[in-house]
Amino acid sequence: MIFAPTAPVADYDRNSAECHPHSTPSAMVSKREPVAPKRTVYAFPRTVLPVEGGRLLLRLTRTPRVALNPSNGECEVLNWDVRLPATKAEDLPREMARRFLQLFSKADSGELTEQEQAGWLSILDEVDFQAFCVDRATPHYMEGTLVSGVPHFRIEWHDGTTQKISPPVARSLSLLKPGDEFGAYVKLGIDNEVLAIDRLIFI
Amino acid sequence: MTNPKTPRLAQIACSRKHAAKALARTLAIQHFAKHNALIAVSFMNPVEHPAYYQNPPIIERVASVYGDMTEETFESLFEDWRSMVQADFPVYEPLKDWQINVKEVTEERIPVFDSTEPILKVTPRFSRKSSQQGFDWSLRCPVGQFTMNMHSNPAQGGSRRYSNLRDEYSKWLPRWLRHFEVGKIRYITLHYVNALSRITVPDFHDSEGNLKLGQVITVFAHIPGEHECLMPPLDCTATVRLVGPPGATLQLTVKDCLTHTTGAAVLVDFVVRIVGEFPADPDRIINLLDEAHAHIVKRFELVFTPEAKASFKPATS
Repeated sequence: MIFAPTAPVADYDRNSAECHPHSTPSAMVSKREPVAPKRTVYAFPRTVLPVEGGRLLLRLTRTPRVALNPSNGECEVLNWDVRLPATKAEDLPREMARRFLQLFSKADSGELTEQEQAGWLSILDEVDFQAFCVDRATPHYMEGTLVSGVPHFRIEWHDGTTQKISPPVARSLSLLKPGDEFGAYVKLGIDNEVLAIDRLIFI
Repeated sequence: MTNPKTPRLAQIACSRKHAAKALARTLAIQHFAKHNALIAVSFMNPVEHPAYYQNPPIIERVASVYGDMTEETFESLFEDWRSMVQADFPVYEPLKDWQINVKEVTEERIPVFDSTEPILKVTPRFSRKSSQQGFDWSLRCPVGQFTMNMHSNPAQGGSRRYSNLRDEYSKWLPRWLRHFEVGKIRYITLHYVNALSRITVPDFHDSEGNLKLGQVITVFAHIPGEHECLMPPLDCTATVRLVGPPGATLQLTVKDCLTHTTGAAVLVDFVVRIVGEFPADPDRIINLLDEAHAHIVKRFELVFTPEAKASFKPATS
């Protein structure tokens, strides 16, 4: 039997079995001065937070940092003002989304206090707010004329601008012939890109 | 710190009395095997006639599949998945891992341990019984992973078999693949946990409660040299590349495990992992799990002694 020391190391996850007690590696560290228990900051690797049951996602621009305070067993998402007992850490994404939505609602109606305003600004540094607003925006009713159909769909909108429509979105226009005038609810993205066309009617 | 009252993991008994007993048992096994053609056949050709024991020491079987999935897809679809799963697995107890990486670095030729980039990892987990009730079936589904755990209780007969896990996995795997629109599968694993304790191998303990490990397993128990016994910590792992299918490896671990329920015990883990790029086809994945299972069965036959296997009560179907 040979031993192949150059073979790639297989990364087994033995922790997936329930009957394995989860063990944490330990190391003895000597310090010159006594060390008081201090809070440890953990990365909480997530890029999105589900809002409205996942139908809407809040994209994060930075990995959230969670501080664990050993003196009271509480964890806190830094810059988000969200605190929970460490035993409830699984609820952090939900609480972060709640906090965002609460401050968003208040900001929308101009009801933020001075303290909340500071909190809101620090949260805005951590999320893609523009993408959130685009995703959240309701579709607008728009009218236009189909200039060309399959395979390169082009529309001339009521204001005279023409626009190319990408194939998955253009599926909604498959019944139209070039020259047909129509009305529809259109969802626009960044730079007025057409993301969806719904409830089509001939006019 | 080791509790002085903790029963030690005794290696093969060294007294003449124990040796005589062991010899008698071995002869009994040989006699048993000679007169039981089915067992002999199953040992020689475990693929066509897989060995079956009424009372194996298996306490858990875990099947996992890992595929391509974005976090956005996962988060968008998780709530619907949760309501689907909780009809069958009502208990939701996510796992929380506060992971600290310990690195050894050298600074002015003085080795120090430094912890950097600690990570909080949350793994969604659904089960039929809570952890306090002792689990039972559970299902884990972090981003890109689908794991099903099936527990067995050898003290109560341990009647569950791979086919039970296979049936349940075959039911949920297509749902997971479809629901999360999984494109490609990167690897699968099948993991068996065997516990050697007073509950599962009562005949292999001496009067002081020590486990005669050398009479139960054929690997990692025989350490060259003169010593009284093995003692904690015991932690041996070997990984082998299997002859087939391509990308398949097997890891065998023998590790001590002292718990309130089992006392001094040794866990013997078999994990088969098959790496590749497979289509998200449930039938193909189940076939791979079947292959992994066949490998584990073969190794089980070789890793446990004939004496131990006889105590697991061989059966004919």
